[in-house]
Amino acid sequence: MSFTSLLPSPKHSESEQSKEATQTRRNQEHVLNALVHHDNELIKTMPESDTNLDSIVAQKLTFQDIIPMRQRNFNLHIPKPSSEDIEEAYRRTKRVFEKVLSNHLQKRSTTVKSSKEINDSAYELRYDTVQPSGARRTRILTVVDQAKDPLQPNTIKATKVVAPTDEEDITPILHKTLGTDPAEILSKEDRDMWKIPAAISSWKNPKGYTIALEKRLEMDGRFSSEQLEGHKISDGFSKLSAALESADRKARQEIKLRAEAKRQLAEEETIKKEERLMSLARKAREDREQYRNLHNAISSHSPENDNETQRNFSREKRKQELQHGIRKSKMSTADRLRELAYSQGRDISERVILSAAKVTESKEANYDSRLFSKGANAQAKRHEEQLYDQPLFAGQNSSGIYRGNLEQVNSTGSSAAQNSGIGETIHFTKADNDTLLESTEKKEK
Amino acid sequence: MTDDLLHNIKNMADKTYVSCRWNQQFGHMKELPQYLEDVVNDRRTVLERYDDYKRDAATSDSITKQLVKVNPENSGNGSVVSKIYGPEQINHSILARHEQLASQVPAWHSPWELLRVIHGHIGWVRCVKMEPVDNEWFATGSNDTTIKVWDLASGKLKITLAGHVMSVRDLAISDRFPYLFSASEDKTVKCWDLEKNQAIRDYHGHLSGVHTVDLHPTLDLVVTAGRDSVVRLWDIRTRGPVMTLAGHKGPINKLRCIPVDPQVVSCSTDATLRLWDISTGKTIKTLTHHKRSIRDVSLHPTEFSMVSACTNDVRSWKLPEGSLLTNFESTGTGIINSLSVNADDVLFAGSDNGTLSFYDYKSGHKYQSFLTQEAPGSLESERGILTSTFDMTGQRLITGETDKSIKLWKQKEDATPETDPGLPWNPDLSSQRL
Repeated sequence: MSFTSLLPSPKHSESEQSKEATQTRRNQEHVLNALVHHDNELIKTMPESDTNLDSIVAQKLTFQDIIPMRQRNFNLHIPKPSSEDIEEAYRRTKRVFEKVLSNHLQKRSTTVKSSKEINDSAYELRYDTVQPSGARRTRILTVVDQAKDPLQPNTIKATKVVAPTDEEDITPILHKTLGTDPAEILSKEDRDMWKIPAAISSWKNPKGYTIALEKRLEMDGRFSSEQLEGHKISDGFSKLSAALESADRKARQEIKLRAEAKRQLAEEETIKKEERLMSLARKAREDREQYRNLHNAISSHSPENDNETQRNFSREKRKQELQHGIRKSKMSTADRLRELAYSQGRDISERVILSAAKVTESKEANYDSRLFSKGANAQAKRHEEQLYDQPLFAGQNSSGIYRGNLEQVNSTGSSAAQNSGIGETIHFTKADNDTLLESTEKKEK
Repeated sequence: MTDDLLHNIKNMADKTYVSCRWNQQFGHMKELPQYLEDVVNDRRTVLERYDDYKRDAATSDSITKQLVKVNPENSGNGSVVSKIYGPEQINHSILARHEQLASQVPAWHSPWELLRVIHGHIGWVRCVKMEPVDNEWFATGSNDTTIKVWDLASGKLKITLAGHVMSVRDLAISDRFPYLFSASEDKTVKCWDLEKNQAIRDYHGHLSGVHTVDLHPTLDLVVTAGRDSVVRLWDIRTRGPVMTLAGHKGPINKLRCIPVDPQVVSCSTDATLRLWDISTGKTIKTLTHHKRSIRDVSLHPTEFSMVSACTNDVRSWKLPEGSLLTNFESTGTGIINSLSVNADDVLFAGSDNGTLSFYDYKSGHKYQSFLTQEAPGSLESERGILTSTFDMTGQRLITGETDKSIKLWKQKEDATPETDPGLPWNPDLSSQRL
């Protein structure tokens, strides 16, 4: 038995009082039943069998129950209850509740029965018994409540859930049962979607960490504490960008126009130059024509001075060659190389201009071997942090770097001492007076 | 044998009598009187009547290819359906009902838009109630265990009432006393004095969390209900439990009090609505039309009717008898947490996924539906309407949401039926859910 069960029930608990009332009523009934032997005459009412449940439901079901009334007429007028109705209902219910309340209040004033009250509640039962002899005898029985220890724990445990009343009417259910509507039956995919993994479904927040709303708002950089709406971008930005764009377009147009004008000027100039060149060429051609005509005329006139003309021609030629040689000697090295290349047929600048030159179609591409740094130049720096191109102790056995080589140290130490005179044991000798004197004399001299 | 003979003779006599009488009375008449014609018509089969109609249609020059002609002026008069079927049969025909529905036009309402967002709670806003007397302030209860009172016009916090130890689920503000009642999941109902701004009474006795509280409009009673699936009535002054109404088979989500019978209406997770007679403590009627848990029930302010909602299903009921009034166009709305009706016949339904739907109360036509905007800093999944109320004028809608904000909505002022026609009206009988 637990300790709490020994405690008295709460002071104003309703259950106790109502229980008492029912208890006495039940006691009376029991006593009377026991005395008068009514048990045989009790008519057992048979519970209604389930077979006519359907018919009961069917009786209550009407088609009008499931048809909305407003469907016929939207403006169906349903007035509010009148004030007389309200007044009437108020008075009726008030009477009921005043009675209930007065009962409550009376009971509250007498929580513990005194012995006098117990005696007051005693009642007498008068009943007749039939003796075996046939004589009737009236008996009087006084029923007194048994004295009860007020500290005795309650033997009846409180039922927590209020059971629904049984005498309720059967109400037909006026909706489709779940799962009959084909639209509502879930497919397997849908059902799988609702399966929440254990890691999520059993997630708990036992310490109840929460972030206050204002802090969440502060965290969101778009929002300040004063205003809830985010900062708006002013339309100055869009104006500026539009203005910049238009200015840019204008500048571009100007540049285009200027370039056009320049090109036209240059074209005109080239045309002019070409014309001049053409006129010069024409003039030269005409001159040459004239000269040739003249020459032909002379030669045709005197065929005997063929030799002379030939000589003249060869002289001219030699002269030209001479001039050419002089010019050649005056030329720069680059020009001379170009000349050489031209004479050997290796200058392709003209062919490039005429787009007659072709790229050499050799299959094997020539790569700079330095690109293959592993093979060509293993010691080359690979990255910035590499200061040296090869490790410090590359050629040595690096395991013995830090082990002292004592012999070597000794030998080097002794040799160094010999060289500097340090570390040698100094032997002191007794100084002669003569020698000392001599030395002083020498100094004086 | 003699019996049979007698019977036959009697029949013969009856027949001759009837034919004589008929000839004498109606023989000279060109048309039968209306009441007799109705009787005769009633006895004929549907097919016979259809043939008649066809003949009439052929003789008259109004021959159309359309079989069903919708006549909006006198619906149910000149159509096939009403001619073929009798007047009492007409309601049983789906076609006729559809015709009736299609011939009517729902009332137009201006669309709603966001007016203001109020922050202040640090938990879900579970309940909101408007002050009924002056329409100046409203109170909200939250999962952060506090009740806050706000000024309606400015949206400023007036006071915070702390005292509950678990989330506050419902509030009730009295219009006869300066009292505010709050129901909480900590099993208690508190009475707050709004002159001293402190809790003055506790109503203790619920076995589990209390989900809803309401005040009786004329009697001094507080009515509460909760997870223990009973409705309890308390006397305000003495704090004593006066009555317990048992009958629901699941937790009760919401209850409302009405001055005349049924004085208490409650809705529950067992998918039923119950109308209670509190003078005897019994159920008057159980409404079983809903399929799932009914989360909210709301009363119309100017009409004696109420509206209730479960997932994808909103219905209104005529009071006091509780007969079905309207099936709203509510398929695909999702879980509906909150319902509010104003005097202009606008029904608001707030969904668990943050959808706000507005209906014309009388026709059940959904004219606007949109998602709420989550408060900055909260997740998209935190959209959700938990509670709602119209102010006393019906011009402002206040919603409490899962993003811990309170939002105020108003109707567009310059809207006209031409500029904002709303969602189209396509009455569909299949969505009327027979």
